[in-house]
Amino acid sequence: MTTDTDLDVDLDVRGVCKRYLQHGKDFTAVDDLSLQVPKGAFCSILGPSGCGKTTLLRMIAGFIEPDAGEIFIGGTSMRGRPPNRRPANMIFQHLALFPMLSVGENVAYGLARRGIAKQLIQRQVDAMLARVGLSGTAVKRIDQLSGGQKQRVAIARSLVLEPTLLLLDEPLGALDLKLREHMKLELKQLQAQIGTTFVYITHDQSEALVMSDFIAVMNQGKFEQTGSPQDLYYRPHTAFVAGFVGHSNRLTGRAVAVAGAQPVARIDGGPALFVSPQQVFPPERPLALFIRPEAIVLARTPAPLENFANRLSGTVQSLLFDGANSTVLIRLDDSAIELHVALPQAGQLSGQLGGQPNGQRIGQVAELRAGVKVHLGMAAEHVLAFAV
Amino acid sequence: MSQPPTTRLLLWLLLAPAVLWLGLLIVLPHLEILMLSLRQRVAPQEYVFSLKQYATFFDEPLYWHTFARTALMSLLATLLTLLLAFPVAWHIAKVARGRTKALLLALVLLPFWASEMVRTLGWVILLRGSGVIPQWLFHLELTAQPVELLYNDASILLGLVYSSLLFMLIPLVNALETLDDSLVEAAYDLGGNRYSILRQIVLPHAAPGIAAGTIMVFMLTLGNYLTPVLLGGKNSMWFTEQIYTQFITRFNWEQGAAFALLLLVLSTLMVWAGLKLTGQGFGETLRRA
Repeated sequence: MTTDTDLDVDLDVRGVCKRYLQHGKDFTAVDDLSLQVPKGAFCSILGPSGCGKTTLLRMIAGFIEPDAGEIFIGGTSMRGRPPNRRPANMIFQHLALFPMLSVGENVAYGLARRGIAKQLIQRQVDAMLARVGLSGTAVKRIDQLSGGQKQRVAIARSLVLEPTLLLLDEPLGALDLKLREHMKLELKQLQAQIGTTFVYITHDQSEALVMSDFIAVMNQGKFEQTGSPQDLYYRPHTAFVAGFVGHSNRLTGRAVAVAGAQPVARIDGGPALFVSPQQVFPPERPLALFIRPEAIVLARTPAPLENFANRLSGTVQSLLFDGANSTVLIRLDDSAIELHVALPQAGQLSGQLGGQPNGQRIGQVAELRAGVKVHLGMAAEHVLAFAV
Repeated sequence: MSQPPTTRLLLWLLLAPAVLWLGLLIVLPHLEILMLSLRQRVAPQEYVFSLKQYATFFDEPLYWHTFARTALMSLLATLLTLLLAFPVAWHIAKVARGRTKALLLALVLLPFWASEMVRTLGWVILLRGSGVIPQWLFHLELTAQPVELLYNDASILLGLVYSSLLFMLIPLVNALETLDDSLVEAAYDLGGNRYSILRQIVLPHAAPGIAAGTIMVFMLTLGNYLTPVLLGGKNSMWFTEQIYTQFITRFNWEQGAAFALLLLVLSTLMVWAGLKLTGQGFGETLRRA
């Protein structure tokens, strides 16, 4: 553990622990966590509900005091400092806008607590509302705003205080899908524009992947892996990360002793596959295997798949149409194993499957109906294996 | 209306108890009291219209002193009840959880299973010269002799606050329970302190509950007869006593009726002024109560 404080690190969490007594049993919500967030970064803490991410965020905000460890914000220790005196502000899950105050009064609340002159507050509030695209709404009541506007008022109310750190507690959770997609982009753009360090907690991996500069994946009070969205997606370190980030086909199997460089795993009730050589397992070691739907290539004949280490065949069970996220469900021959395969990209399959000219995507989808025999190819490095 | 006659008949039959209640027990007696208060007996069985009863009220200092004193003491009792009930309501609504919360509410409710008379007599047993508390104070040598703790303004206020607590507590608990905890946390996070959060977030949110509780307690206190008489004795100078005296002791129904109407006007005016001052709507307040 280092003791020097790096000026370019806005949030420095060092060995923080929090235990609760739950139903008479000791329960560790946050277990010896350390995290450094550089200035101006958009950092997400991603984890399933109950993993301790809210506890961690509330410790950073100051609502909970850690049992052990220390939190530095902007290089200053926050030990014993209450939330109203920390340079961090929080966007609550349900925003917690004050319904008894107008939009302008909401944004002015924090400034007024600092004892700033009325005219100056007025000017800052107007500038902040303009910045989030809400000019002229200062006199409105909170319940006159739409969901997206409320979101922006909540952000304006915190950012007007110019905090070192903005903490966001799943604020998009309450919005409907369309608006959520829109607010994801808006939040990312806003963060890039103003440059405040954001710490965003969420259980939605797509929010984390789209918005973050880096992500810490949390499970049972510990960080499973920290890294860029690409790292987590393509190079997960643990079975939990591989399963939680993005969509994957999850299979179970055992390591097989094979002479040669390439490790092999036998899938329970299915074929043996060459797996990613990032780790070597002793024979018969139980494994969890993950294959991304888009890492599987489909073809009508075995010929185009000769370059793939793993070549299998199967039958289309059903087509799960979801626009750009469409998948086909394919059952492997001589087994009960079913794999989700991303619908082939334009052109790639048209020649291989149907022999039709490029660009006729509808023709391809129609071609892939239940009962059609297909061949599957996967590169060894796309079959990720983890000991369980 | 276009309703079939049987439906309308049924509607009236269902409404009948309420209409009879209102008409026979509330509207009619008040009309009777109004007429009583505006007449003067000139000879046996012979009455004329007169404002003499009202003139007497203003001419005789004892009457309007008692009137003003009752109003002020009621206001004071209401204020004390509010101050006492607010932290308790906050604790029940926001701090206590699960069984503790149910237990606390039950503890508040429990005394109200006994009648007001029994509860007030309980205070008499505790406070009178030969009662529990003066005897303890005497035995602990804190006082030279057993002191009479009854029959003063403090004991009246004590009894009034005690008997009103529940009626303040319930609307306050209801109002505070609907306050989202994250609002308080957000205010704290944005730099608010206890005082500014209470003033800007908690009190505005609880205002309808406060108004409902205050009105209820004020009206109950103003019209209370038993508590001031039992705990204040002869010196209690409560206006309901004057009404009682006129009706029962003096047999001067005309004067008693005038006093009763004045008390009704007073409570109506005070409630109206209270609602105006705090900017609360009457309908909203009734819903909360």
